[in-house]
Amino acid sequence: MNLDELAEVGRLQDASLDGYVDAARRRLDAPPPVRRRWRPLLAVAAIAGAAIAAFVLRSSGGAEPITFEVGARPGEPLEPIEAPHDAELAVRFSDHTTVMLAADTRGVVDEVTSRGARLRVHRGRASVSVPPRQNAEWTFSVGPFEVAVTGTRFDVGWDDAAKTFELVMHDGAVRVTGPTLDGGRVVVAGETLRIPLGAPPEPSVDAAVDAAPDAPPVVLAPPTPVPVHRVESADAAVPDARVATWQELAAGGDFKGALAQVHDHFDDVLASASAPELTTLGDAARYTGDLSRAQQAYLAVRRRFPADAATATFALARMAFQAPDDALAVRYLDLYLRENPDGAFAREALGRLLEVEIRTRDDAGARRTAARYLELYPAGPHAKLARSVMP
Amino acid sequence: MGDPAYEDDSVVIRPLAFRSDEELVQAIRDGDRAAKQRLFEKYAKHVARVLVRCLGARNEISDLIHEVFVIVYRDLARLREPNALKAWLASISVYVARGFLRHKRRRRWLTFFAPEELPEPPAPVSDDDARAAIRATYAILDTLPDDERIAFALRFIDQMELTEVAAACKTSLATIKRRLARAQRAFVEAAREDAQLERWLAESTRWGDR
Repeated sequence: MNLDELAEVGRLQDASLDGYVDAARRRLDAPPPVRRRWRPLLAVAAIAGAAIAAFVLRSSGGAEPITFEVGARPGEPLEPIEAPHDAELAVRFSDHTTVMLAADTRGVVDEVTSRGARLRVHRGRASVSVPPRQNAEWTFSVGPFEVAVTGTRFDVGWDDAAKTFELVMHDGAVRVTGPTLDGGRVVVAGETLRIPLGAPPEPSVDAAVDAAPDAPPVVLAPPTPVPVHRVESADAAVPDARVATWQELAAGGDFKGALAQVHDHFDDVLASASAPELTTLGDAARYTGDLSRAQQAYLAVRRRFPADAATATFALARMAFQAPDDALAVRYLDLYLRENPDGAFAREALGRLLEVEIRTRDDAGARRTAARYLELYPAGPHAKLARSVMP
Repeated sequence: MGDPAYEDDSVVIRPLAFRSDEELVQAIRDGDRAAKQRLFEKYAKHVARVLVRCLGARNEISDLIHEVFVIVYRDLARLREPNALKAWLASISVYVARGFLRHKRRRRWLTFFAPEELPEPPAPVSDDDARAAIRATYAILDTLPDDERIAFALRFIDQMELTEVAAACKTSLATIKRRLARAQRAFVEAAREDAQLERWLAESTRWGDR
């Protein structure tokens, strides 16, 4: 047997190299954080932004300090940050955390460590995406409130004029402390926490907004497009001084602890937890690498709460995308887009679908998706990539 | 009128000619964006080749090329011998390939509901026998320990010299020889069970039949 004949395998493989290089070149030309960056559909506002960052790159043994950029220039701690009156401003950290400040938002990165950062939003609104890391420590001070997070995505804002705090959770869970929040409150994916502290708010079509100034925090319905449903996790989120719930453990970043707590009755939790709780459980499992349980939790959302499954469906798509399992990613991305054409993740889903089609050399599909993307999101983060595949 | 190479950040109109890798590396260290692009154009195929040898033709190769160059741009300042750039790129490619294999093992759960997850040679290979032989070759390599698989692929599929394989794997020549010996034994044994490979590789008695 002549193993030198295997050189022929190499010669045959060489025919494919140019295609791979072309695809890699397109990726290098595309905006770098495209896969992890997230921008929500925020229409309202004027509020405050903030940011953070940091985490530990321990794969080679040592922690590296986090750096960040404000727009296109290097950022410095304690340097005031202000978004233009008519445009968003991105604060990007070296660990891929992204804080997108809405127009007119003011803030500052107070401190950057090797595990995270502390960012303050004085006024305005910020869309935050923190990649999950076990040892990450991020704190967002928003008005008089503080949001502790290890890995999640949310919109947060402080309306200085109305003295109102608002937090919209899209992914994961956080703990919020501040006025009226005796001991803090856990907010999980799918929930909105809104706390008016100033004068009674203007009348609003949303009954929950009519809470008195000193009223306890109000957990509203999940953000659009998920329809309003009962707030099943609000009670469970009230912190217990002695025994932390798995939701609280997850919110505090102790994902392993959260999973350990449900270990013996995981199936019961799958059968009884609310949609936001199941999504949080899936996130916790995903962050710890327990992908099988993450999958079970997300699928349970789809099975039990089909009307509220948008976030879970996108999480399944993202898992497949990152695995990577291109065929499965296409299935879930397509499913998400069909079920949630105007969903909070629709733009990102369409962008990722385009990436998959490019890397699998589905030229016809990529062109179709690119055309659709450019029609819907001509200035979106995948627009440049989309244009690159158009004839 | 300015230099057209720098008139548009997104396009390098005029290719830059660097006399040596050392000069190229220095230009990148000096912040020359065009030099970065030049590095990619010069060595992307080399990186792709190493990755494809180690892993077989699969959809993720372009992502891994991207990953290699992200590491290269990040760590270029630490490269002590710029004239050894090509070998350094090979060693980073091997590092990324090994990471991919480890990652893939951890993700096996996906086969639970996605049994179709298999390497997909995207390049058109017209010869059905050759296609089958490639598939069979990598099916066997999939059963080997990562370090042995990589050494074997670089030595026999890429035809690297032993010293090049050792450098790419960042280990000693003696260690590479041991890995190759183990890999050869395992590969030959498995190949004998596969009619396609058996036919393909049976023309010589150099390695096995004695």
